[in-house]
Amino acid sequence: MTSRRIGAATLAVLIGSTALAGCSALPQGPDPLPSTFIPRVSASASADAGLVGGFAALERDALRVRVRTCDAYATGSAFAIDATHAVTNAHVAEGATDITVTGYDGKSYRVTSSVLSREADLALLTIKDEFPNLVTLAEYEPTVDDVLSIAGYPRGEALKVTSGPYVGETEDTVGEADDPVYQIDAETHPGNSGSAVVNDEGDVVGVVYASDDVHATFAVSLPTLKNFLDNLDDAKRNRAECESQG
Amino acid sequence: MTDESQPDPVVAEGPKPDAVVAEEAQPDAMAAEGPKPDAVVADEAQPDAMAADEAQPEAVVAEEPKPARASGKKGLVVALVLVSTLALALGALSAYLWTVHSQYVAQNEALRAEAGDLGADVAESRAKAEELQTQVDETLAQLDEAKETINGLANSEAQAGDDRQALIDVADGLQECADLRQDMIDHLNEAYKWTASSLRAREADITTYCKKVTRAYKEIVDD
Repeated sequence: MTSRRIGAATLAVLIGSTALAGCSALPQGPDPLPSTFIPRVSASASADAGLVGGFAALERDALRVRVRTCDAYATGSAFAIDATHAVTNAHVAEGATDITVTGYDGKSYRVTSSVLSREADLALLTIKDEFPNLVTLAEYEPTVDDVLSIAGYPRGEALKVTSGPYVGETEDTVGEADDPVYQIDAETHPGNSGSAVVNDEGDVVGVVYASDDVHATFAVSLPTLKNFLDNLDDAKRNRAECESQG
Repeated sequence: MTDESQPDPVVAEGPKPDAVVAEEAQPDAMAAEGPKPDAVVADEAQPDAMAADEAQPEAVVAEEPKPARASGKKGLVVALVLVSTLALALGALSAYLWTVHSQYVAQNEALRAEAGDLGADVAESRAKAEELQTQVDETLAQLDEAKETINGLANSEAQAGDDRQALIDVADGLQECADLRQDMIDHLNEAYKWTASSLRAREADITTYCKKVTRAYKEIVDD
């Protein structure tokens, strides 16, 4: 009698255990469906998002400089650093009796005054109107093999963009600057003088001032440019003294 | 009969049956040993005593059949309960599985419908995207052309500005040249006031200047 009870109890326990174990393996009902299967995605910025009228910021920032001296004409390039000031080379602006700057869209700005750096091939032009497109100076110098871009007006002709890798610092073999200059493996020509050298973030890291007309371009370095802009009181006024023919 | 009915309870209760069996086995053993009538008689004369001895098991035997039947009934009840429980459990399980199945079927239908809608939307979106991409490509091409046009016009204007400035300067130079020549004529009209060498030097300077201006003018015109 006792063994039967034990057997029955054991059977009951077994059945109960089996039932419980079976319950754990039972399929659960489906989770409720989400309200939507379409995830929210934000449109990624297009590579051409910076285009305005088909011109990239680098191109819109480029200014053409026309200089008239006592006995010659010259052209160069420049870029605006604020509403009324643009940077170019000293050898472009020096001795000018008249300087006119034009934007990528042909709009002209008359330069009212200019100053020249005493230590580097840099000049600061001041205009009466306001420039619509301004550059930003980079926080860091370029590193070797960084691809740098240059937008300017080679030979005083149409706007052109060129780019190439940063080669490194070198001595100024063209001018008389004490500071080292940048060498870039990019083709530029006379007329590109004063062009901004821009990194891949669109920030200015230097100012073109010389080239071998083939593939070596030389630029005033970022520290030298910043030093010039931070110490404009040390700059000299740009004056032309022409002899009268009469 | 009584002895035969004992084994179950006796077996269940313990060693007594063995003793009984031993006593019951004795006759065979005795028979094999041969005639010992007295002993047999003597043994058979004991039945009363034996019966007296066997009376005790009888009390047990008389009470045991009732629990056996009750136990059977209980077992049947337990079995019925277990079967019923199992049946209920299986029923509940079936109902649960059916519910889950129904939920999956319903959700599957909803998903299929949603997938169909999304597929239609995707197809429509792709078609629109392709159409828009075509428009974008065309627009970019037009933009490139417009950019080239603007660039060319800006350059033309800049070049024209350069030329205009040069022409203005040449015109100013020619005007200066004309003024200098008029000045020279005035000097010649009053030649008595000047030395011949100074007049020749002045004329040479003016001629050089005017030739320079004229050359610049020709260069502009030739360009």
